[in-house]
Amino acid sequence: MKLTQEQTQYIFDYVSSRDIKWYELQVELTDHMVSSMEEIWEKDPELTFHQVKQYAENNFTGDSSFKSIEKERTEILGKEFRKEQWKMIGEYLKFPKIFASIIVVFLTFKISLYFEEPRKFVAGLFLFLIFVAIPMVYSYYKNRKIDGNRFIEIEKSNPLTLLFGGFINFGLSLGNVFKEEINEYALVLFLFCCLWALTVLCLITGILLQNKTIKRVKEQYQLN
Amino acid sequence: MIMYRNLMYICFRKEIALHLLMIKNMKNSQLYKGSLNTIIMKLLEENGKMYGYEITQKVKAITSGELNITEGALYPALHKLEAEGILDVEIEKVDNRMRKYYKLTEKGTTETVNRLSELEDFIRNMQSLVNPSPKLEF
Repeated sequence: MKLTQEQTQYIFDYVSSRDIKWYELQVELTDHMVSSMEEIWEKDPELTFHQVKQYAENNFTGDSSFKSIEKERTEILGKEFRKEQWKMIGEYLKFPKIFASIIVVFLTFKISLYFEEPRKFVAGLFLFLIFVAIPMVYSYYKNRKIDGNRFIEIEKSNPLTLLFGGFINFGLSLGNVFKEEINEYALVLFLFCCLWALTVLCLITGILLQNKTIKRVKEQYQLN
Repeated sequence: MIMYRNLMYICFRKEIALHLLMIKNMKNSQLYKGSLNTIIMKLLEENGKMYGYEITQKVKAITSGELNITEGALYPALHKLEAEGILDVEIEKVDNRMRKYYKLTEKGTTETVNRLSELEDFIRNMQSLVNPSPKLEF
């Protein structure tokens, strides 16, 4: 026995009301519940809608609860995106893209030598990235909802939650610890230039990954 | 052994029957989890595209209701395979709701062959260890 439009909507709202705010999960769990309910109802038409719902819901308890499934998906996507981003960064350390990376490090290092206190230049480089992050934050807020729906995939592919944010923090903190060494030793200065270039790579790959994810989600769910 | 043979006949699918039997008898959740992905991939290889509920029902039908894949095991497995690029997703409007179908990617099809082969080797080795064939010595 098929569920009506209103009954299906009721199940969708019910799933959402269980603190499942992500559209991809709302869609999948609603379909699972409704398919299960339709089958139970087919076997026993005497049951009421709420009885059938209760039977279907019994499969989503304990480790199979909606929240457990959501938690697992969030962890899986976070891990996979980080893996994917490292893979993309790795591409910039291979031929031919490695030449672009070498040029960025070399130019940064060369320019820093013109400064009396290279430490300030290095700190400026990392602070510059914070300003670069402002349009990124705007872009994230603009794209975090598609047609009013939120997706874990998009949330997890946000460059700020990926490696980029962490590297800015790391660079600034480390720069503070080694402020004397940066001014005195060219090698330390060079290493900081490498770290900055790596942060830039995190930014570029993070943006590419997010754009790719948004495009894919829009295509899959036929959203604009 | 008799049960093993019966299951083989019921399934009409030698490989799935073998894998499901192994899972059914497994008390070790690690082994279960390890094989679940292969089962999903095998089912998708045979059926093209499937949705979550359909997979649970298919497994139940193949094993005559003896094996239940819980939702808490199924969805993380599907989501992981999707994130790894082994499965692709297709959303379709069915009746009055959206349905998320899973299907194997090109990479997933190749991976299925490898994983099935690995699992078959594992089953064969376990079979040899658990139930070694008698030595024919006179």
